[in-house]
Amino acid sequence: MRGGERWIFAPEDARRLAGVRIGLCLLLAYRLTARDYDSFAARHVHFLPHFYMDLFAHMPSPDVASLLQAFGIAAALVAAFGVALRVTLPVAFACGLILDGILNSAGRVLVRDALLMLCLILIIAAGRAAGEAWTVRAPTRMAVGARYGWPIRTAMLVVALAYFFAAFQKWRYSGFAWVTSDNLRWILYAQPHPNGLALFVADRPLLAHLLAAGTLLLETCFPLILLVPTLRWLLIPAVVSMHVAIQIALRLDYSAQWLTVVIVFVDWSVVIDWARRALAPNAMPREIAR
Amino acid sequence: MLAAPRYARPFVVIFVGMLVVCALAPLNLWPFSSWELFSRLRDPVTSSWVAVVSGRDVRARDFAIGQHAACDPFLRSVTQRFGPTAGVRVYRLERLLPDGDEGHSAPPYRTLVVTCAAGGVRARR
Repeated sequence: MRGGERWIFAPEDARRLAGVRIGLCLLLAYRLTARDYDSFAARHVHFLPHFYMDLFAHMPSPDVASLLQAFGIAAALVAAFGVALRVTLPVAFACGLILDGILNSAGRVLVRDALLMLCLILIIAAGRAAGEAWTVRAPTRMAVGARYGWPIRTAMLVVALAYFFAAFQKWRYSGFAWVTSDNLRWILYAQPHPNGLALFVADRPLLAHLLAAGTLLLETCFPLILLVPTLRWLLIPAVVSMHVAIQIALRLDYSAQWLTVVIVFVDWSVVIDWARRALAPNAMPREIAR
Repeated sequence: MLAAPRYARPFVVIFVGMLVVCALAPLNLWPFSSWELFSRLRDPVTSSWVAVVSGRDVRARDFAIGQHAACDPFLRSVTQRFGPTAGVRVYRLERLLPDGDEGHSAPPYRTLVVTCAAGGVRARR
């Protein structure tokens, strides 16, 4: 327990937290831009409110959806620049929450943006710390401390648990039959118009079993990424590949989830320092020449 | 070294606790998901629901819906969308999936689940 607490409250660079803030806010803005919420609200008149959407008597009107979309995108972009974070971050989050609620109140609850929204809660909870580097209004603070570490470390834990629980539910409801049965093949065949990749896998039982086994193994072992940092080089590309393959074969867009994984696990301060060093030799000859 | 704020420890405990409870219960308090992604085994039969709307001023038309729930709110939302309707029939469609060599899937079976009318539920099977 003490070890876990020490891990979560380990010091991190203020710039790393700022990098996560910028990444998640830009991702939220992109997600809000990429969908047509007003036409979705107009199309799905059968309102099945999920959880907090019980606050609404009926499906929010297309005008309300458009307004929330515009506010959400604007607030998320301003938050990415680190301006008025106490206002812009919660506004962007609230708009995203209601718009996701619209999608979730048409009879099917979608997991897709859940991880992004959970990590955004942590950035909001970080308070001023999330805006102490890489903002347009204040100089970057070259500081290190647990103040910047706990939101990032908790987000890493949340990501690891999300994948672990996805595996846990498969073990719980299906057991090893999730791998040994024709489950994955039926999932691929069940689409209205399966594409070439879906049929390629579904038509080959052995390949389908291997991919199912790989998925279950990957999700079950994902928390190891917290204990063995070098595993990030293996497990993060593996989950990105898994989601991209799902997107191609099943047309299910989990880009919000895998991009959240990348944003949370990459140390952006190290990336920027490396990029500066990599670009530095270009400036050297001019200095020497002078 | 800059320390974490005082609220951070209880916040992390509650936040991670919520995540664990929602997964184990399971509760889908979105975004605290139950993470039940394709967790149940599929069989070669798929089910879907379709609503067929008819009325004096509405040409009979059908549209896909999620799993059917209560009649009254559904009828209200359909009336908002299509105008006054005589009723809505909700069908369950079941389709047998093809196996590798079969090529195309068989046509779906259509079963009437419920008829929603202004005077209440008219028929249910």
